[in-house]
Amino acid sequence: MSWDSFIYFAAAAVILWALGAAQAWFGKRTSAIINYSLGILVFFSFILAMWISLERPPLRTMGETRLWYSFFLAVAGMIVYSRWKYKWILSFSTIMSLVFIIVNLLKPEIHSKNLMPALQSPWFAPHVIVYMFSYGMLGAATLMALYVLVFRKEKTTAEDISTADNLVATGMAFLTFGMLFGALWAQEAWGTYWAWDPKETWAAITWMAYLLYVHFRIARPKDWANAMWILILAFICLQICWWGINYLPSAHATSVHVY
Amino acid sequence: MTLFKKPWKLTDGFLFGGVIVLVGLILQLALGPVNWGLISSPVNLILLVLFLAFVVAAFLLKKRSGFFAWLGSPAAAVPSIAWTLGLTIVMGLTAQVPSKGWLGNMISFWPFVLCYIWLTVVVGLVALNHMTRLGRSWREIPAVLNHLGLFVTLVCATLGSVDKKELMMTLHEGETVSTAETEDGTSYDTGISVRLDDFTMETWPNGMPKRFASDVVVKGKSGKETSAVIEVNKPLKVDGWKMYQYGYDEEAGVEGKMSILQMVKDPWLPLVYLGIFTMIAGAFLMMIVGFRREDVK
Repeated sequence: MSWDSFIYFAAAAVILWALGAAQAWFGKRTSAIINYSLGILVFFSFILAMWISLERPPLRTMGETRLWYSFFLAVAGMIVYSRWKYKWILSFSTIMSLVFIIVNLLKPEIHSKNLMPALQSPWFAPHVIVYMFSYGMLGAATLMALYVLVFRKEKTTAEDISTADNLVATGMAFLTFGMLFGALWAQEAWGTYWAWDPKETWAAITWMAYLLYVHFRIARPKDWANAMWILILAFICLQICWWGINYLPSAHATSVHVY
Repeated sequence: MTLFKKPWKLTDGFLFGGVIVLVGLILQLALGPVNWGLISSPVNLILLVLFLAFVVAAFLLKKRSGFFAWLGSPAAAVPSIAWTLGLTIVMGLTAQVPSKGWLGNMISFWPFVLCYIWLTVVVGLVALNHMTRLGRSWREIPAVLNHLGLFVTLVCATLGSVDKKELMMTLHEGETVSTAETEDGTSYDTGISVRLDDFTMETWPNGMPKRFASDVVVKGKSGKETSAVIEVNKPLKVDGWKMYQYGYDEEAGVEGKMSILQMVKDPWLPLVYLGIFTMIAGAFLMMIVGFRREDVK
């Protein structure tokens, strides 16, 4: 399997997701869940086929991590829909996934099978997959924040905010796993669990920004508008950590994570 | 004037953070950057005891002092996170090159260090607060583990970093070596003799390195010879040291007969691991339980 066949799998997945999203709008829960899950399955089969043909997990290049991000956004949307029944969430997660699919189609960043020695570690796959799942959940939380700030405004309910809280709780847990797995891996590979490498610094920044959200919610439970703004700022930090760092002059000279 | 009127609220906390940064700037001007070398063993052990005593004392005084009650509350958590976050963002935006002045060396910048200490005190107090509530509800467990784990990690990683030894051992095929060099080039007798029997390097078809490994015979304190293969991601443990495959003769490439091993001894590592695994357990439980409803209502 190669990137050439990506467009077919992606098209099939997006059609199934769009179908599921439409059914969700019209309240057909069961068929929405079935179609959306089928779409996720189709998309994952491409990841799996890539994994087999590359003889390594497709996690190394930006293009490959975007693949997982599209996948986990759909998974996160699906979890939120089945748990909290928002009829709009599947449309949002489909559009978000589609954006990353299109980026991958236009800029696939095809890389060979070669994996440098430091990346040949059992920590590699869990480190990146856990992070991508977290990014998916936190992306969904950001959508919730935008939805609250732009559309709900005064009509915001306690339930809206508690959805954001729940998404952040899960996303934050996985963010913690990702960061700590990275530390354990670095200890095995380089003998240093934390070196303030720019990617590590931004990972800490992102983690603290979500920590700020969690504690702000406890300190000022009624000030939900500012809480939602913190979520948006935290997501900007997350983006800098994920790919923005490649464009930061401060990171370019010194980071081992620029790729 | 409502500022600093008890009980302290969020705004007071943000101002308190400003005071901390100001004090940090004064210290930076007066003393220069934090000299981490000064607290190497046994000073760091004394600091550990004093710090823990301070946190416990602050916890015990919270009924009598509004300040200490505030220090372990969400109204202190938010500003301490925000200030630490802000200074860490500064670090993320500036290249960390000590020659570029204060901001190029954030880990020795007093305001940065003081903010992290403030944050650590808050985390410790919050951990103690949650622990005393454990008897009332099992739902406190994730919060206890998250805060306690972070507290142990921050304290031990910081105090332990000064005792960490990193040496480079340069080996040539067939030779036996027991000395290694520190970062500044001083020679150091490790008490471990290492003979490099073979250095192997494999490349991908495009010439990129695929694997490099050192086939070595190691003799430690026990006097027993053991043969081992050290490669990237597969370090070897000898007498409290860990030996990592670090470098090789880059010009000779596959033909190279030289290998550089990095030797690391970090006596505080088990404690840092304890903290890290406690945090992982806490995050796992938080994922299952979610945030406690009574907190966020």
